[in-house]
Amino acid sequence: MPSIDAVLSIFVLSAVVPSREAAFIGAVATAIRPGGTLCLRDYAIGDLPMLRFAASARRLKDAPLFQRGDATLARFYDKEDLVARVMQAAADAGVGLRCSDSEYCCVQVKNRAEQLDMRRVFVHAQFVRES
Amino acid sequence: MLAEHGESLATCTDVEPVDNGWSDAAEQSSAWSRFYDRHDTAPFFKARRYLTAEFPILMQTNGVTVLEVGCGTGSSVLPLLEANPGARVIACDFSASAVAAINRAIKKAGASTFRRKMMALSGTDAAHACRRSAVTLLLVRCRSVIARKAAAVRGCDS
Repeated sequence: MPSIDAVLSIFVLSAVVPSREAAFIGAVATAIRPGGTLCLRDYAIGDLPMLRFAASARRLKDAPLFQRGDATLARFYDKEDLVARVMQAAADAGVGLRCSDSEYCCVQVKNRAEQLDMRRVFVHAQFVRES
Repeated sequence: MLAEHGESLATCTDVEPVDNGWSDAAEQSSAWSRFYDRHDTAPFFKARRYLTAEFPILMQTNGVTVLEVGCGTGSSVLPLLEANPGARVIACDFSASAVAAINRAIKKAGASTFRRKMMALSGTDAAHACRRSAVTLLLVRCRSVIARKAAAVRGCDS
């Protein structure tokens, strides 16, 4: 098995059951080689689906977490909160991560057929494993 | 743009929370399996071509090894391999249907000779498995035929 230079978790953490989140992050962090990178991208607070869910979907206790009609979960992240929780969960698993980059990405998506302007907001974060 | 969301956000957080709990991990696994059972003929999500620009490590040319936890039907993995033929990707997902869909996409691109071992596990289990060096879910070798095909399409095949 090769050593892992980078782990990609793209719109995945938001679908993890809250009670398993820390274990998930810990396992993923442990899989990275020292010096390797954890690449995260996920839904952010204020993303359009969150605003839609607020009207229609089932909102779960640990806000802002929603359950879609098909039972899959969608969580929307505050950037600082996400970074803090990733580093804490990694630390609890004995892995030292340093956040090398974190930002909100705002993407304007146009649906010309339906004359819709969709404002998507994502969190983008990179962590380097230091120990 | 975040500021513009402020007002609607305020409305959003006023929603009364439901507190009868969320489905557990096993239910989530089957929920995502059902999702990909329904959406396995074509990639449900658009190809994420921005990833290699957003995460420079993915473009390292010295044979970077990437583990994707939660690969879906390949919206990240396939563009990554196109962009970086030297990359090696291990991808896994909750859903066996999703992993099967990636394998079909690879086969379609002519990569049938790659070593492919497939198993669908939860993300957590997959990461544990990688650590234990026990399971390779989907190993797409470097010098991918997908990448060569892409290069040919762009007219720069060497």
